[in-house]
Amino acid sequence: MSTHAEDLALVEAFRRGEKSAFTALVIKYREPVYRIARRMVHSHEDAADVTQEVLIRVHRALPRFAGRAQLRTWLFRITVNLCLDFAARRSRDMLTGVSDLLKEPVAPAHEGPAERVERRELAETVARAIEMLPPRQRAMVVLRVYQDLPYADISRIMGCAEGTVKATMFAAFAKLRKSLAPHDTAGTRERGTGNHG
Amino acid sequence: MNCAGVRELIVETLSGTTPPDLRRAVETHLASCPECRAEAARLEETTQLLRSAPDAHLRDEHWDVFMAQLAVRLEAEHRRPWTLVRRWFRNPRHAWSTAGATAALIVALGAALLAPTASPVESDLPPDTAALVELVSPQVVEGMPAMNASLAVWKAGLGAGEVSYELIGGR
Repeated sequence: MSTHAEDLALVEAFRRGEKSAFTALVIKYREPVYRIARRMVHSHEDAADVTQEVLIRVHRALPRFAGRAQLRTWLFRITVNLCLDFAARRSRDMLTGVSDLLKEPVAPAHEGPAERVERRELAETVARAIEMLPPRQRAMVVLRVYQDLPYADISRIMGCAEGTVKATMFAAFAKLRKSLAPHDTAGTRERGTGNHG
Repeated sequence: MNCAGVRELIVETLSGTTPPDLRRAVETHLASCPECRAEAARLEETTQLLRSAPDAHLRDEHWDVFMAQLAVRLEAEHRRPWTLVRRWFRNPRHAWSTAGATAALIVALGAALLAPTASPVESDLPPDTAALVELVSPQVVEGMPAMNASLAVWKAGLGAGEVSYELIGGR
């Protein structure tokens, strides 16, 4: 069964009153929704709040979900819109959230101190570069690079033409390249070698 | 395909999954264009850096707390009055009863709005008597103890109907 068909079956079960169907949808989508939110709002607590709000809204609107769009696309659209609203409300606090990325339980168990420092530096650099993008550019980069969505899906999520996605992604990558230029992959490798040596 | 068009496609091919024909078209152009090839190499560096930043993962215990909080919020959602009303209207079994109740309400409201308004002053007196009440003041009652006896003469003079003196306030 394809993901779309599987999702529609769960939606139908939910409409029939099966609560476990909604739980299954939550377990399936909570992680990607959280990850998008985490890249968009840059604080673990805020991202968790946004994820909960997304799922509450999905629960309210699911009886009216027509099934013409993919559930994933619809759900990500709600996520991005909430994140954009959130970012607009918290725009003054946006730069304070980067270091919060480091407090999260992301470290693999086998990671040594040097690797941990390197990973934290890299995470901070990339988070800051993404954070500098305008909110809609940031949303498109997150959906493309970290969720690997096709441009067609991104255009549906963002409510714009596919051509706009192409142009916006091109502009976003130009900015990211400039922000990340001092930290290119060769530089990162050198820093890593230096830390070990 | 010109270089400007290809550069947008380079971002698309490097940043995620791309249809094979699009990838082939870009590769064909890159094979013959050193400027675009250099641009693609720089963009690939950027993409690799973005991808190498680890994604946020939550441990299972975080998700346990998350699910518990979500369950509480969903339970609160179920108890919200508008949710109950919406659920009632969504149930097909309630469609006819809801339609009937709505129609009855509309008829009742219409009848209440269109009905003739009642007289503002309720009175037990016969219609022609109201004007006489003002004439029978306490002084008149005191000064005319035998009013009943002379009422016939008075009625004949004023053209009033058959009204007793007691009924309009006399003794």
